[in-house]
Amino acid sequence: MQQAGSVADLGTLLPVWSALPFVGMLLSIAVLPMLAPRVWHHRYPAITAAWGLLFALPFAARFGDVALHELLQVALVDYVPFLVLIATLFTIGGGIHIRGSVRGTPATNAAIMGIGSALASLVGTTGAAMVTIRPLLRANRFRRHRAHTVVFFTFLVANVGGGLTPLGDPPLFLGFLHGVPFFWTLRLWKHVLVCAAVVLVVYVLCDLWQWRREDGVARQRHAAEEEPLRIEGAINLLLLLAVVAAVGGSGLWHGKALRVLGVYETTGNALRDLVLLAILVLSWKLTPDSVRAANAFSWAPIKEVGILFAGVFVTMIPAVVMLRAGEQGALACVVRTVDSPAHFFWASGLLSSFLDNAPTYLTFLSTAVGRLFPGAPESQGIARLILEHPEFLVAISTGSVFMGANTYIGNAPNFMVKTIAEEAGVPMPSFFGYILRYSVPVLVPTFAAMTWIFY
Amino acid sequence: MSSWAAIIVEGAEGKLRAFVAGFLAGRQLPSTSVAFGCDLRLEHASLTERLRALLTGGHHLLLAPPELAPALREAIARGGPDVGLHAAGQHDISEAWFDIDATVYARDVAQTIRGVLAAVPHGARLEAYEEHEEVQPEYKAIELYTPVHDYRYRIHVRVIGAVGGVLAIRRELDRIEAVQLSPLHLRDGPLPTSASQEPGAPRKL
Repeated sequence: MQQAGSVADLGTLLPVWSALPFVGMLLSIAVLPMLAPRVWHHRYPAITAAWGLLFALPFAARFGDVALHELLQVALVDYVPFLVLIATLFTIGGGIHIRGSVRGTPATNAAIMGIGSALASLVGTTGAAMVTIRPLLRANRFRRHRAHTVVFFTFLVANVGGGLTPLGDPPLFLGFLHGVPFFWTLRLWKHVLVCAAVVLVVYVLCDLWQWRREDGVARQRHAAEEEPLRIEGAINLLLLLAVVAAVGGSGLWHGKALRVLGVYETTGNALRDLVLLAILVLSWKLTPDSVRAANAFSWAPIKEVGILFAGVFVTMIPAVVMLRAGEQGALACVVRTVDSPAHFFWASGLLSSFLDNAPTYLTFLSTAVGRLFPGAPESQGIARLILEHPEFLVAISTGSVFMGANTYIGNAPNFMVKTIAEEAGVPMPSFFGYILRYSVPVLVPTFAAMTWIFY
Repeated sequence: MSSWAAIIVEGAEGKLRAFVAGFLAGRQLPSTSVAFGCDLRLEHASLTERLRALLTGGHHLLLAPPELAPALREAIARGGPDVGLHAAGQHDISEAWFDIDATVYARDVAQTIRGVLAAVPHGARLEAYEEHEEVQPEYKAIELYTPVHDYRYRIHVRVIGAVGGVLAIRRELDRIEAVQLSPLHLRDGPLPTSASQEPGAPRKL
């Protein structure tokens, strides 16, 4: 190995095996919750630390200051803002509770899913799923057949609905942090609309069939259903608008350049994160405890995200810099393999189906930049990608966001929805049952049609 | 105590359902008084047989209690041919059984299952009763990446005995989505003389 002269050189110097801890990290998140759930539950911080150190220690020893700079860059520019946003949206989402119940007819269920999908682009897929899954389960508590409703809810609210803004799904926020303008993602509206509409129509047809199979008890109107709907913790809706303003504003106003521990940041970004933290505190203070209790709110998911993504972001460094180096890097074979928007849509999507979609998005964003503008600095490469080949970014964004729905492990809220539904007595399909009974017949043809229409 | 009867009827399923509904309504009896074999996953028809049944009608099995079976068979023999239904045979059923499997993570659902199984109707009994309940408060929180349930209840049991009692408990359990019911099995012949055994003692899974 040669001595790295600069960060830009890293992509051409790092060997392909340096990405193995990243692969191990992602596979741990994907596989261990199913293979060894209790070991994973107790030991995930240690496993994460092991993968992170397996890369970081030799990396720092070999590349010295350049490696430390890259680690600090990832920590300050990616990890901290990512965690602050996720925690803020999660706190806000956990402060909104819809009390009361409606009757779980096919039309009502479709309406709840539609509202949840729209909410997902504002409060994030995790927050939207947390707010709307319990009203959906309450509405359907008298029904015999509910598992399909929860699966379609996962497709729409926990995944597809998050495709419109950087607040909607972590991959898009990472894109925003790396220079994709806040409002650029709104151009995905056609893709979101087509995908959501197709899935929703299939759901309604499926639920109409299931509705006819319900016995009279389930289809009758029950006195217990008559409790009118009302939103508790509505102050959080205002705080949500403040989040949109803070994040959107940081994309429009950058302020002065700051140098923190040798890493360049802007006052705009620093201010955004401080405002988000203030909003988080306000949400916590202003939301009654009863509302959070009704949502079974706890900090456990944020602790998980904080620990796991520390490992993801650290181990992701070699993969990203090698891909960004294009055909000069050790992952040139990957860069050569994907060469059209359709390839990027399916490649980012298939990987997002089985690995977390946020790192997958960044990996393919780097691949696209490395392929089209090899050697260009990231900020320039992404700016040129948006200007000259936006169809690649559209494909990566939609593939990463939508195809997270393909499996339980594709996107974080999928597992959360499954757990909440199971604890409400819904027998959710197994890992392969979910794929074979729902994803393959519903989502795969939808994505194939989208490829034909858009790519 | 007489046996339930399995009446085999030829004809279209929709017409048979309408016929039976009319028969029961005329006697002011609930719709559950007569059971359809296909609702109990009793008929294992091949795809070809199902297609043929769809086009030409087919064979259907009705389970009727002893006090209704003769009248139902007579009604089908008398009025059935007008709507394309023909009684093709009848035999007595001495016993029925099915297996229950469930793994649930909701305490109230587990309680409902236990409640149903605690009130086994006369003539039915439980066999091979295996259940396991696990509570682990440290897994209480709902998590994104490391989800483990704090409560799990598993049960496997066979419900066996007189057809009426077995069908009644099957209807109750069928309302619970988390419960997997095996197809219903029937034993032909007159009722055994010692049909009322005690339920098997619960056993850990």
